[in-house]
Amino acid sequence: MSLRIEPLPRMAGHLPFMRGRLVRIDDLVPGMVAAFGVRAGRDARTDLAALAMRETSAYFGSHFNANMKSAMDIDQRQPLRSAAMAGAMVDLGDIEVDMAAFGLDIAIRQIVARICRRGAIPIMLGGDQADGVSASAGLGEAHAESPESPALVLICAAPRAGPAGTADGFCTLSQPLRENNRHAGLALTFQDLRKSFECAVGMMLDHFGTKPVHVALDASAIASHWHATHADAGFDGLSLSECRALFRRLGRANIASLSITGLDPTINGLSLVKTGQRLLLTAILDLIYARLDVLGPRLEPGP
Amino acid sequence: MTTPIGFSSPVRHFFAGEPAGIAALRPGDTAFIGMPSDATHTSRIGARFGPRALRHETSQLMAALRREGQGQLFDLATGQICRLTPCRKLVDLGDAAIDPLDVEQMIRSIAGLTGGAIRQGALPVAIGGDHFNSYPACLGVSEALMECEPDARFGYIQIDGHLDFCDRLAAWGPFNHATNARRCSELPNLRRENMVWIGIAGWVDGNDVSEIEGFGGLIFSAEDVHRIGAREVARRAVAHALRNCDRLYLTMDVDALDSGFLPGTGSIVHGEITCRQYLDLLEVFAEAPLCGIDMVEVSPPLDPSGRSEAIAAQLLFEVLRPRLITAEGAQA
Repeated sequence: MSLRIEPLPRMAGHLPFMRGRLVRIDDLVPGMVAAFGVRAGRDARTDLAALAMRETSAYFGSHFNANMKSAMDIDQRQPLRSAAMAGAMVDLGDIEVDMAAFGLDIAIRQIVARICRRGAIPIMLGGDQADGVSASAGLGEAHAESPESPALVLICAAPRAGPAGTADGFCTLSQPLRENNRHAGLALTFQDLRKSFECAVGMMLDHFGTKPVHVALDASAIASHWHATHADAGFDGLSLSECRALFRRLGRANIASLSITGLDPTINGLSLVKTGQRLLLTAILDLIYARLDVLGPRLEPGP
Repeated sequence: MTTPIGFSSPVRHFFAGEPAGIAALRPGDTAFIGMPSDATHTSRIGARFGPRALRHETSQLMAALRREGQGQLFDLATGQICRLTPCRKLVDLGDAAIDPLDVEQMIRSIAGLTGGAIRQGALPVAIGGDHFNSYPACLGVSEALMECEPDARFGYIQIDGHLDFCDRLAAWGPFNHATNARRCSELPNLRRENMVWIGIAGWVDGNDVSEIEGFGGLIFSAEDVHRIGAREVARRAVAHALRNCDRLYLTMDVDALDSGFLPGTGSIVHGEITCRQYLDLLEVFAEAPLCGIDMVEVSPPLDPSGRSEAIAAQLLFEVLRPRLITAEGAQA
């Protein structure tokens, strides 16, 4: 008997994020989640992060897995309404930067603002922590005339940059004793999350209120035991379980934009396995599913 | 002065056992079978190198024990003086003949070896390979038991990050590493209501869960292992798998382990079962009436550090502990 009976799913060539449709910004409609890549790397090979995350996501989207007729998270006993995802996930390609005209930060700000104005949720793939803050500025630009200024939650090992101006709405979740935390209106540590998850997340959500929120996840926040994803190994970072649980809760807030920065897919030895970036995508999916409210009610618990 | 370290032979045998054919097996022996095939894995391959890596790691493990204990060991966990089992009771039957282009030939080849071991009264321990190889290994056990004891039925425990209960995958049809548990469930003397899965994590097909729980199978997710505890899960699993059965088949997929511990496997999930929990499970299963064991999905090329095969060897040691070492008496 022959081994394969039908063509294999495409795993080569141009793979968009989560196998979403390739569209232009003008095609976006409210409710869409629009990924775009940033090909920039100042300190590490974060310029390859968008490519790596797109490739990895081709294996990891439960909503497009044709072999899974009724996707369900077995740990949570929670089904996924795959049909509700149809058409919501799109990819805009990589950002084009005319460096002669303006810098990368301005380009990021502008593209995030354009996506948000169309009612879609941008996901920025790649770049470093400062680019994540630029993306949050784009959200601010889109809501410039709104009565509620947006909030930013920066999840990283050590906040190196904060938004210009007021600290109101700026929340950090990081390792303790970082100087820049004092710029934040609310500075939480990974230990706070471990001591009392509900309390820490509750404080965070109270801090945001009804504001639109930008979630800036930097790979430095991730514990290296997942497999190093960031140039600086961090051994007391967030575990996958913590990250998933946090994202599931944050996804129920008014998340308006998201950036995933700091991922260096070339870290020696571990890039072959790409375990870290696979698991990172797992966590990000939790946020996307929760934000789009495509998770069904929890079923009866297991044994 | 130099110390001889012995030859670093490229040909090693599982747990430093003796190479032999099926005819040389005697009742009570442990028969190891290599299944060097990953042609039925659908994404990241490399598990075909698993048997070779585990031959190396398990023989290193035994060599270290022999060297350290001079044949006699003190088990800190039980406080007992133990002796290593003589090599002659550990038999390496070699690798099954694999034709990656002919799945049915591969199935017959593996089933012939595990079935042969059962007919001789030995315990077959089949080492993969991707997880599809588990099906022919279990098929051989099933066929041989049917001949020896037509009325006997056996239960089934699968430690895995995935259910592997698809009926077919679009491109791959019915024979691949996501269908092995369903194929096993179709064996006539394997009782479906005695099937147990442990360590399942992440996204699965809800229809598979409904079907399994509908026919009486039991699923312990990774979350359940954390919540209930590994030993208790193992005890409940054995009790369920042995209802109206007197023996059980155990299949161990290393991808149930958190990939932070064991990255050298093809289909990683956010499993989060730790090495300690996996060992605790196996400590209970080692005392169960096992009629066949397989370990699959160790993919050495996917872990340049080499720790994946070392951990897998330790897991194998734990489940085979009663066959590898013999307690001689209690130490005060």
